[in-house]
Amino acid sequence: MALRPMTGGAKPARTYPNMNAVQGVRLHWRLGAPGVGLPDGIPVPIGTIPAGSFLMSLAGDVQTPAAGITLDIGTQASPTRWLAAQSLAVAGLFGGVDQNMGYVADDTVVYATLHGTVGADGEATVLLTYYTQKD
Amino acid sequence: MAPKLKPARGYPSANAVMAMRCHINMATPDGSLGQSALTPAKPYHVGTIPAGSFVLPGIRHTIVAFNGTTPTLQVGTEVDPDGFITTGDAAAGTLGVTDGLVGALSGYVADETPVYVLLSGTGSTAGEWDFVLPFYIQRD
Repeated sequence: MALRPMTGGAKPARTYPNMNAVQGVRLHWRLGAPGVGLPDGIPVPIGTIPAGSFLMSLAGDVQTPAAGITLDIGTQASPTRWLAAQSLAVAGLFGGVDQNMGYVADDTVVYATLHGTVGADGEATVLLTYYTQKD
Repeated sequence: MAPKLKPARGYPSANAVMAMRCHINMATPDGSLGQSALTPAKPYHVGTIPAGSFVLPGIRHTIVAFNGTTPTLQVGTEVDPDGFITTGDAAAGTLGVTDGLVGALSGYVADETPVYVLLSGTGSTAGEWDFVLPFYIQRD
């Protein structure tokens, strides 16, 4: 069965109102098994950072390499804001663009954009962490 | 009467990373957004880290550069004002994000630890700065 890309509107911003915990938005891209499929060159919303949050970090992991594939993470206006053309050809950890983390004034929809022609295998995970409380 | 400190906060059953945050806005602080303006040389209480916590590296975002003469920002305790950021001072005048900020008090804290932010220098009427200090409270 072919994987179906996510469609429709952006996911709502999420937090836990009274909990001073670090929150996250996660992408699990995977071919041939449960996970999110990403079409070539089309930004797909993966989550929304609540207005007023502090975006802390991006960490990623390529579990199953995919030759010739790169991944961007950002906004619709700036698709590479937090991850720019990250190759998924080699297994292992990777980080994001640290200098673009920090305060976001408005609800901020996060998009993932895959580039390249996928083969039969490939799996990668990306985790964005953020803090929503004003303290 | 001595001012009350914010109590230590955690979430008893969640093995989550907790945090505290302060958002400084010298020109137009909006209390509804949790923003405050600082008075130079007067430590501002941010929150309290529970006893036995492990304090992780902090991260800051200087959104608007501070004006004035030699503005510096430190995060620590009343006794050790730069206990959680020793390298953060110069950022008050420099835009951008810096992570991995630690000080002599980072890591394990045996006792409840009130945290303060301290602005030094003079004449800062503009400047916006956001800071998050994460910590973990569970003994697992």
